[in-house]
Amino acid sequence: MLDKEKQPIIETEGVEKKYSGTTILEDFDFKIMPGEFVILVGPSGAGKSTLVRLLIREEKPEKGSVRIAGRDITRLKQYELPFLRRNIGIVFQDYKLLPNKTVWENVAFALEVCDLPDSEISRRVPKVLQAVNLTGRENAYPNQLSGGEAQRVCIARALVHAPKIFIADEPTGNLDPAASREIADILEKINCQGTTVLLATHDKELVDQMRKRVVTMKKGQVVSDQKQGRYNSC
Amino acid sequence: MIRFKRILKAGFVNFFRNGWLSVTTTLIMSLALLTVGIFLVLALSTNKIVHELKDKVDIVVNFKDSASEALIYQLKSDLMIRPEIKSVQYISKEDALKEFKARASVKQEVRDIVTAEDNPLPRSLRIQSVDLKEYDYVSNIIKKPTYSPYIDSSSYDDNKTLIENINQSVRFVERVGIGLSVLFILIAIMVVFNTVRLALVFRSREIEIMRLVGASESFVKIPFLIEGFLYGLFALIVSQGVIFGGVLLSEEIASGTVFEKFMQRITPIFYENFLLITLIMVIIGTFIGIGASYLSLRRHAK
Repeated sequence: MLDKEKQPIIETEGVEKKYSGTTILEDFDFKIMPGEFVILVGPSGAGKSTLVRLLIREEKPEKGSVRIAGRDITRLKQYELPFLRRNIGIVFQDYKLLPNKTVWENVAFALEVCDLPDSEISRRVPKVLQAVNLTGRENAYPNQLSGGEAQRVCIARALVHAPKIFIADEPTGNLDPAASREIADILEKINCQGTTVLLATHDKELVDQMRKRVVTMKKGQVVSDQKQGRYNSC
Repeated sequence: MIRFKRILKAGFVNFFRNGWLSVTTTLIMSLALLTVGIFLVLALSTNKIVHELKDKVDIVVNFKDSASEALIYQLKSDLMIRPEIKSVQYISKEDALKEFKARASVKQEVRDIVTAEDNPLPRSLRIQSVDLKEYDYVSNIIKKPTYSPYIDSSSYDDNKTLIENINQSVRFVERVGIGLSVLFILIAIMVVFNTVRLALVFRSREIEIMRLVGASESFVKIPFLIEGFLYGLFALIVSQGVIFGGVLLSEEIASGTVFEKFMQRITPIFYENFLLITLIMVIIGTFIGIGASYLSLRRHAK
């Protein structure tokens, strides 16, 4: 029996996922320990986004198990999904902000769904907005934001409930290098506070700058896993 | 409790922030409710007017002088057995005379001829029935050999065609009214269902995002139902306002014209039944609003 500290926070075993006949992930094994910062790289179509979708149970694998903190999430019931997702902070390439809500409300929404009292919400939201450098933009609507700002709102929303795991799927995909660097800095800060971070990206510069564990995927399988890796264009 | 408050608030906020979408949906529902409302007012009015008309049509059976009082009373009790017959009034020669004298239109010369001593006016029974169908029953009884020789005349035959005409019109109005109302309610449900569905397809991304951020099903869905309810509520206010304004306006326009009498009948009917009309429209409005949202959610928010 492994003690709690040594148990992987994310673990996949023999995962297989197909979309209308095409195999995206095949016999996919991979582990992340608590507190790690892992960058997932690979060309488009390698299965990075599919893996992310499996980790938040947006999709179910055909075979194998996906364990988060020791629990196989492929077996979760529909009503249990919100609880899983409240423990994971997710950042999307297309931000996925609610268009009818202001910056403040988008961030507060993640806490409202957890039934946190208003006092706690008004304490936490300004803090996290400050952390992503968005103080003063609270009342803006998503369509009034720049790409970098929108992505930082998305990060703020993912962070505000202090998740154990933080997953970012191509967060810099639509951003210029300066904005990308800013996002990377925020992710490093998050990791320093003890949160496990999984970053899926194909931004070569970003990967080379960060010097973190790099897992390279190709055609649905892990082809390399380096401790302080660089972007590998194999 | 805090969740309930937030879900409620989310519904209201969505409704007001969705701007044009809420406005169009509300307007379409208003049209639907308006149709239902107008039909209700018309149906109630025709009903009321037909009832008044029915009350005015009574049968008067005139007896020959040879008929005994006992025979008249027997016929009266025969008729009273039927619960559908509202009243049977016996009018004696004296009563008939009084009524005759009271008539303003009778000329003085004629009035002088008819006196208590020499009274040509017949004794009669005045029969009123709840239902026009009863008139056939009445006519069958008075045609029985026991009574017929003593009966001078009855107004039944004069009124027969009139009664039949009214009967047919009543049935026609009722059937057409019900049919059209049902048709329009169905159209309204389909239109609203479609509008809400389009709104949901338009917002399916929002629903997906809420789920990914960890919102439970109630948090995602109930605000949509509240929005649906609000569509119904506002549609109710709009359509009721239009009907109210319409009644006031037609009263204004009709005054001084031939329609004045007609409107004088319609308006009080509207006021008397205001609560009933509102209640029916609340039920239909809420039903269409929440029902259509619920159906669309079930289909499109998997």
